[in-house]
Amino acid sequence: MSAGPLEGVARFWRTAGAVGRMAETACRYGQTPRDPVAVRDGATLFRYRPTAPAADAAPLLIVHGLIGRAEVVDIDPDRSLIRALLARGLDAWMIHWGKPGRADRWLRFEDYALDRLGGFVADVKRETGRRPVVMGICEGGLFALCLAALEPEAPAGLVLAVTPVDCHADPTAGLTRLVRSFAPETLAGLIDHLGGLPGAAMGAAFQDLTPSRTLAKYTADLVRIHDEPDEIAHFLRMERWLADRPDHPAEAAKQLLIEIYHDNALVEGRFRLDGEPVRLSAVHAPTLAIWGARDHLVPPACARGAAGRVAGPYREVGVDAGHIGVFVSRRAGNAAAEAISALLTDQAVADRSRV
Amino acid sequence: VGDADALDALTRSWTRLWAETMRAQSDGFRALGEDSAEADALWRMAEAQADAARAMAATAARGAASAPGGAVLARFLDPAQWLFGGVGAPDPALRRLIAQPARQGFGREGLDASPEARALRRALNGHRAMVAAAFAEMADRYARAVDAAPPRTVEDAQTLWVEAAEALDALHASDAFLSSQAQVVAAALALRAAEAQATADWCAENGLASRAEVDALHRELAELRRELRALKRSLERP
Repeated sequence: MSAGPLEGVARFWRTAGAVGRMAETACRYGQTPRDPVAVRDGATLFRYRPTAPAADAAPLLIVHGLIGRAEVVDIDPDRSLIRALLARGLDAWMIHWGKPGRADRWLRFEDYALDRLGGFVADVKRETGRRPVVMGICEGGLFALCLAALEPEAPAGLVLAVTPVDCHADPTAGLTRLVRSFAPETLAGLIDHLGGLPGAAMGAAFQDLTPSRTLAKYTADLVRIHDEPDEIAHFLRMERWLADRPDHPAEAAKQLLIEIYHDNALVEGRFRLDGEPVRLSAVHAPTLAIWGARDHLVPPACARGAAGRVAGPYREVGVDAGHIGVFVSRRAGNAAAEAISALLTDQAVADRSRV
Repeated sequence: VGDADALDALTRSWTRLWAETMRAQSDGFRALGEDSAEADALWRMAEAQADAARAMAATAARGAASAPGGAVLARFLDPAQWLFGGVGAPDPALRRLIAQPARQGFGREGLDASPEARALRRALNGHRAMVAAAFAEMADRYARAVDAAPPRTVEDAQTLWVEAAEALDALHASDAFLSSQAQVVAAALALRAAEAQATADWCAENGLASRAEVDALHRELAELRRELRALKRSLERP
């Protein structure tokens, strides 16, 4: 017998009930225990508590950009990349950038990549006696590349996760086309007017790239999981993570959107920090690129941009996932954890790691 | 209610009603794109209606047990989500960017009739025409799909609706849309710059610090801190 519209309407209300009833405690992300170790200008360095005997490996310092929070690697307790790394006996650290306000609008890549990230790398080295491998996620990978190019001895290795290195490699990429549709002076004027890039505005721009996906997400997809409490909880944790997107400081946003995205200055050797050119050929640290085959924000061709450009050994792993799915999908997370673990325990990386 | 034929007939009648409603609105969507005072008034009415619907959905969601649950529930219950492809809830900062200027206060009198305000209205009208045409196309696609294969469940109908929304994907990916959007932003920035200048003049006349002056102070502070850190680093080096 066809249930017809009655069952559909019932499912609609059951979905609303399931979403409305989900407890606050079930919607928290970033629950893996960790301790603050150092603070620099509002940014905090955390160290995760070990859960397994220590492996002989370089420590891992995770840094996200300012377009989201680094806890994307720790959204769900049962499919957390952080937990997978800790279970392998790895020593994991994370930088939390805090909440930049309008007064931070003059902060530049130099402040994030060289000063703060560079300072935290020194902190990890001091605490552990080993140089860390820096894992940069999205824009965080750009910070890591800049540091490795200008201070080649600082990191023992690099993980560039869904990092937009060659922004013109895929001319069909929605985000690149969106950015390049504006004149540089319009981008600068927009960022100045907004006092930076508000997190919510960035979220709206990302959603507008694929309206039908956004429509499906908040309607059909949600109804489909209405009787799966774990999936509803995951959905709400993701929503909280998305809503926590910080505002991006203005000057660093101009460097990202105009120089790196619009002009592709990084791969063309024209990107400069503190007056110094950032040359990818100066990166000698072993590098691992992780990219998502279905990533529409940073497509594979864009995320593989370090290949053939960095001087050190380069390897990569592609996973069948989107930009966020690389970290939150169980299958993709395992592949990423395997690849990261292999890099951290690689003999060349271990040797570079020792101070 | 247990009669399968009766239920199927009910399903068909509901989905046809939805499809015909969408089709009937096509002309209305197209009219929204016209460069006229009436179209402008229609947009404002549609926006006010959407705002009210969102406010009601948000009120209904206030009883949710969690903050993200409340936010998602507000979106889920928002009729625009189901009837208009989820589009129409722009970010507040971006809405302010393209808003017409306040008519008075802080030296902004008369700005709503300025060349910048007129240029923004023109750019917005052109952009709305494009969006309206895509909405019309979305409604037509849905109606055609329902005609071809009437859905038997709400889920089937929803799937057809999401597929119809690919008309919006195509719009947002088109060069014409990106170019029109860039024109709107450029026009909005010109108006906001005129507004900021008027406000800065008013601040100067009244002995108050302007936004630009406060920003300049922040800039100096950031540069001083950068220099201080560089100095510290050089002192720490052996």
